[in-house]
Amino acid sequence: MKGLVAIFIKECRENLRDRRSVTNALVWGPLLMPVMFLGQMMVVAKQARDVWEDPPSIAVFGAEYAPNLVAYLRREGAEIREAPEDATRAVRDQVEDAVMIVSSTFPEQWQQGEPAVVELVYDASRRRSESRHRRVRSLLEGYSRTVGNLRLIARGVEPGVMRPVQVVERDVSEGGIGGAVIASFLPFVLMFSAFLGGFYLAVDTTAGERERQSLEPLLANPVSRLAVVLGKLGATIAFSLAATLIGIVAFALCLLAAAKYAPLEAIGLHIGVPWHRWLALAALLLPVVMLASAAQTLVAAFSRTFREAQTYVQFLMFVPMVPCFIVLFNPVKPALLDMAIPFWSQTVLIDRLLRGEAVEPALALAAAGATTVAAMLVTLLVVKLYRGERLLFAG
Amino acid sequence: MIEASGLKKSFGAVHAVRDVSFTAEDGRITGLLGPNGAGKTTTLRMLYTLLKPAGGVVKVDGIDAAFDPAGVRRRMGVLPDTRGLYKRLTARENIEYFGRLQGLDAGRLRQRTDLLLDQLDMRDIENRWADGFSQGQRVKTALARALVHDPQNVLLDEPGNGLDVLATRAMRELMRGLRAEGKCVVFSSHIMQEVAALCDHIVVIAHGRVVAAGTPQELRASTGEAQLEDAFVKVIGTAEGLAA
Repeated sequence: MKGLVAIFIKECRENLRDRRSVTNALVWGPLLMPVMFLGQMMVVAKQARDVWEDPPSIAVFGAEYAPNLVAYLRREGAEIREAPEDATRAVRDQVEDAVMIVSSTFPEQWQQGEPAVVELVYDASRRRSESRHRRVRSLLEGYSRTVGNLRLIARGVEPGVMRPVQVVERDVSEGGIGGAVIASFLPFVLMFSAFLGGFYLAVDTTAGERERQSLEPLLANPVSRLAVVLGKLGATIAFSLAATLIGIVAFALCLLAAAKYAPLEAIGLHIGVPWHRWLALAALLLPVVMLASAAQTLVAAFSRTFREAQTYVQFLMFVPMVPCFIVLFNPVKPALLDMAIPFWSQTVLIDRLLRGEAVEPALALAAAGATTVAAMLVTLLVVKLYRGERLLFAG
Repeated sequence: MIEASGLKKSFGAVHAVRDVSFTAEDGRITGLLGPNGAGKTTTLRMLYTLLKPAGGVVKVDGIDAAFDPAGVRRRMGVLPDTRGLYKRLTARENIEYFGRLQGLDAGRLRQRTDLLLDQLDMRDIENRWADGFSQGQRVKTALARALVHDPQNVLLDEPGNGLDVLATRAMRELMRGLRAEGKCVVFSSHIMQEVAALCDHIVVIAHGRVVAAGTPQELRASTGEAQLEDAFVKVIGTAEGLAA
C-alpha cells in the first residue's frame, strides 16, 4: 500500500511538471469544447426565440394591391415592411429571409371571387428562411380561411362542410432540434474529456516508462505488480476525473451564460440551475472515468512503442462518439439491457437527464455497476500483462 | 550472499541461459564475464527476480527467490542494463522515490539520500531535473537509487558502460568500498580489463553456460596462461564479443 501511494504521488507530480500535457488535458480538452458549444447553443436558442416569439417582420412587395390582407397581418402583430424590387435576389443574398409578393392581379381576382395569388419567396435550404416562411404562410392561411368562411356564410353554407376532417397537431418534442443536438453531444464531449484527461498519463506511465528504460529498475523494487498497476492507474484516473469535472463545470457555466440570452427550455434543455442534475451527471460519469483510464492504460501497455501507444489510444478516444451519433439520429427509451453497455448507457441516461426527463435510479445503478465491472476486468488484464515477462521485451 | 544453481531460461527458440551456477560470497566482488549475448543480463535478471527461471534455484541470503521474490528484492540493490531516470524529477527525488518503494521511513530516507549524495559527489545536481544529465550524472543517480536502502547484495549490469575514465575510477572505488563493508557485489562485464582489475571471483559465461570459475590465479593456473586475458580467450574459445 505504501508503494502504491508512492507510485501514485510520483506519477501525479511528474505529470504536473509537464506543462504542455497538463494544458492539453485539463484546459484545452474540457474547456474548448464547451466554449465552441456555447456559440452553437446561443445561435440555436436565439433562432428559436426569434422565429416563434417575436412579432414577425414581413417584407411585402405590392402591399397596395391588398390593403385588407395587410391590415389583417398588422392586427395579428406582424410588422409590414417595403420589400426590395428583386425579391429572388434579396432572399438569395440573405438580405431578406422571406418576401411576400402580392400580384398586381390580386384586386381583380379578389373582386371576382377567384383565388387571388400571393407569392412567397424563400430559401428552403436556410433554416431561418424556412421557419420565417412557415410563419408567414400560417398567417396567410389564417386570413384565407377566415375570409373563405365569411364567404360561405354569406352564401348560407355552414363553413364546417369544407372541413370534413379537422387535424389537430400536438408536438410533444420539448423544443427544437438544437437542444437535442446538445443533449446527445454533451455526453460525448464529457466522455472525450475523460479520455483526454487520462491520455498522457496512460501512455507515459506504461509505454513511456518502458521506452525511457525506467521500468526495469522500478520493478526491481519490492512492490507487487498489482500495486505498481494500481498506483499508475490511480494517477491516470485522478487526471481523467479532474478533466471531466472541469468539463462539467465549464458546461454548467456556459449554459448559465447562454440562458441569459434565451430560455434554454425553448430549445428543449432542462438543466441549469438545479445543481443536483449536474451532480447526477458527475456521478454517472465516474465509472466512465475509471473505464476510460483502464482501457487507455491497457492499450498503451500492450503497444510496442510510445508512438504506437499514442496512436492506438487516440483511436480509443473516439469510441464514445459511436453511441452519441446513434442517440442523435435515433433517440431511444433506455431499457435495463442498454445499461450493460458502457458509454452507451451513459450517453442514453445523460441525454434523458438533459432533456429534463426522469432517470430511474435502478437504471443509473445498473449502468454504474456494469461499467465499473468492465473497468475492473480491464484493470485485471493490465495486472496480468504487468505480471508477465512480455511487457519487458516489447519494443 | 547469492547462490545460483542450474539456472535455465529461453525465449521462444533462443536458449539464453542453459546452465548457470555460481555462488557470490559476502565481502567479495564477483564478476560475470562473457561476450555480448552470452546470457549475463538474463542471468542477472533472474537473480533480481525480474524473470522467472525455467529451471534452477536462486537464493539470496538464504531466501528462495521463487517463494519470496519481494524479500529477495528488499535485500538487493540493482543497477540494471536499462537505467532510465525520471526526467522531470530531480536527482534527489529520483533517489527518494526508490527509497519509498523500498519502504524506508522519512527519517532514514533523508539520512541515506544525504549520505549517498555526498558519497557520490552529487550535491551539484541534487535539485536539478534529471532531464539533461550527462551520462556520468545519470549513472551516479541510478547507482544512488539502487543503494538507497543500504542493501546487503548489489547487482550491477555492465556498470562501466558509457563512463569516462574519471567516472570509471569512481565506480571502482565505490565497489571496493561496498566490499570493505562486507557486501556481496556482483557485476557483469564484457570488458576483460574491468573484470581483471576488480574481481575476487570470476565466473566466465559463454553460450548460456559457465565455462570457467575461480579466482584470477585459479583461472590462470587451470588454463596454463600467464595473462588473464589469454586465459579468458582460451576458456571462451574465441575473443569475439569481448573487449580488452
